[in-house]
Amino acid sequence: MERENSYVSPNVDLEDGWGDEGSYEQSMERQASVQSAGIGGAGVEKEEVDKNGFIVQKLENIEKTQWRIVRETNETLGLTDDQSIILLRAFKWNTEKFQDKWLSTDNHSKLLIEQGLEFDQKIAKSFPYVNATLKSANQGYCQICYSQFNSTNAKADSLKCGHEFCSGDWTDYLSARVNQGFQFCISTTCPQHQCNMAVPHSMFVKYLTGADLKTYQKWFCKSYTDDNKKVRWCPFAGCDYCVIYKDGGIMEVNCKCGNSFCFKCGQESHKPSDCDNTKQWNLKNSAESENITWIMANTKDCPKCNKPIEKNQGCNHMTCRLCRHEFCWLCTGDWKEHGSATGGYYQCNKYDAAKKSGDQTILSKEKKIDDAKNELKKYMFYFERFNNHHKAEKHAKELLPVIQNKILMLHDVKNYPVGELNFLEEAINQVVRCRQVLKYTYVHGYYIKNEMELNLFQSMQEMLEKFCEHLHELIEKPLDPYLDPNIIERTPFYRYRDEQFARGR
Amino acid sequence: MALKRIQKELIDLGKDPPANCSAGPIDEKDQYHWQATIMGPDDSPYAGGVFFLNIHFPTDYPFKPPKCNFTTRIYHPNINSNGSICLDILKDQWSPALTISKVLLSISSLLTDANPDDPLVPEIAHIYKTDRPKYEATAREWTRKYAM
Repeated sequence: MERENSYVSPNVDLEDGWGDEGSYEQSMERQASVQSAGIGGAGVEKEEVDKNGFIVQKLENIEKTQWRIVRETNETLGLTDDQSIILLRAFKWNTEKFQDKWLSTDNHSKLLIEQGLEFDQKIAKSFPYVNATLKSANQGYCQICYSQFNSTNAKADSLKCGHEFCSGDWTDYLSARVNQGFQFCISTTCPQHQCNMAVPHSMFVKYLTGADLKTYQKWFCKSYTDDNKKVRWCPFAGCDYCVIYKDGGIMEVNCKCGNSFCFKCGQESHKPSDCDNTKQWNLKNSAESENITWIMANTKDCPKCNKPIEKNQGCNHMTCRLCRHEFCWLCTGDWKEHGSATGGYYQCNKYDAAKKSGDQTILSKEKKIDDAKNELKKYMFYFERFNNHHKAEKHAKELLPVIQNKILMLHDVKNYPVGELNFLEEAINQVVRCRQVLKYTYVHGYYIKNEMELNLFQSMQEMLEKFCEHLHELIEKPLDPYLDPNIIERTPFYRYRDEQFARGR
Repeated sequence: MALKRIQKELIDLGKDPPANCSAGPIDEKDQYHWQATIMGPDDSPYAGGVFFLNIHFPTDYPFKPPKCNFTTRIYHPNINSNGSICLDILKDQWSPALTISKVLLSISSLLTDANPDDPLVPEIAHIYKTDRPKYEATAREWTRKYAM
């Protein structure tokens, strides 16, 4: 129960993560306290909580938690399952906010009508045809399939609004909605056009079977996890674990699938860079923006048709291929005004004179181009290294099964005890971890503005890089038939370095 | 299921045809493919025109909406040059309790009252909102050219 209490507590501000400086130390402390509470606390199974205090769960367990919240709400406010589910969804599963709203007003019918739990009588007035499927008006047959009611296979059923359809059509209708996708499923209303009644949970369970019911249950659970700020799915492909945020703790989740990610932004773990910079960096890598920077750095626009032109050889006499306009590359003036008087084909006196006299338009243009060139150079430098570590991380991950296989072989052939061989796996995991951190040090470094900070950061980065390379080299050496004793000595030292590095940012 | 319902709708259309509209299968063998006509409403610039539409019923009709599009060219903010119609009940507001007859009536009232705030052709919607006489003149001209 302790877990649930902390879970519904509204006091956690998720925005206040480790994005800003200084909170890191605090969060480390908080992390420690959460850990001890997690181990000693009643009702929290140890294996469910990761080392940073997150609860990593499979879908089935999430659904249990979801139902517990629904039942609690039922008991507190005297509602039914269907009502609680729809109302909690409307309040994004923030139980406190919902209960406050519910208890602060006596006029519940407005809220119930808004959420489709009660029929809005105004609709029947503005659209009289919605009455056509009421029992009093439907002439005994279903308006969807035109079967007569009361026969064996066409029993009439309706929501509270009273619009009757036969049971087979309810099944087909709900099945179609569920298979159209999540958004369709959770926004399903009574089949009567314009009717505001939402189709509740019990109706789906009553009429769906087999694969459809399974799909529905998936959407039902998703409606809880997607809207809830304290729950997040592991973003890695093929992983179906879900993570629940606990009060306190840092934002880095180590999922049971072996990957780690940032709870705040849902990207892969990006320590020491912060969420915003990482997002900006990823955008930069994928977006067209770098093309534009290149165009700015290496081309000039044709003064007549404004198409960018790259000068890759020859003299200053340019002829635009598109509009045949002839101009001077240096001053972008009309070539008609040029000739031997202005210095011929490889010089431009007009340009030199303008530069000397400090013509602002030319100078600012030049500066822009220079800036773009420098920026591109800097970005290329950081990106190359970022990408390098990214590839190395991938290779190290591919090495893991190879190493695991080797461990088994060494155990079988040379009779080493497994306990004595585990350090190999630890080492390769450490390399993966370090590559990941190193990768994002380049993102962090790219955005550092203070030179002092940058120097310090770079020297630490260099150190980590050195040790990481060394360990990676050692672990990649062929293992059979003997073991390299160096690796044993390096691992703890290396982990120590890693931690120092992360703390020192 | 779909076929039974489509046939039932066809009978109802014969018994109680909606004003200014008609519809039915093109080929007796293919009940899922209909043709419909809508007469331009008198209080609209489409008056006097006869507009043809194609209707395709999906196999899971009526749980999915029918696909309707104009085969006659028409100048309208919510209908593009391919004849596609932007109408909520043909998309996410579709309900299995709706029928072709109601759909045709809705399209007919769309001809009288366009919805320029949710346009399929922004250029026509712009003219509709800023220069109504010009819109009406063009719509009348197109009707004369293509629908008479």
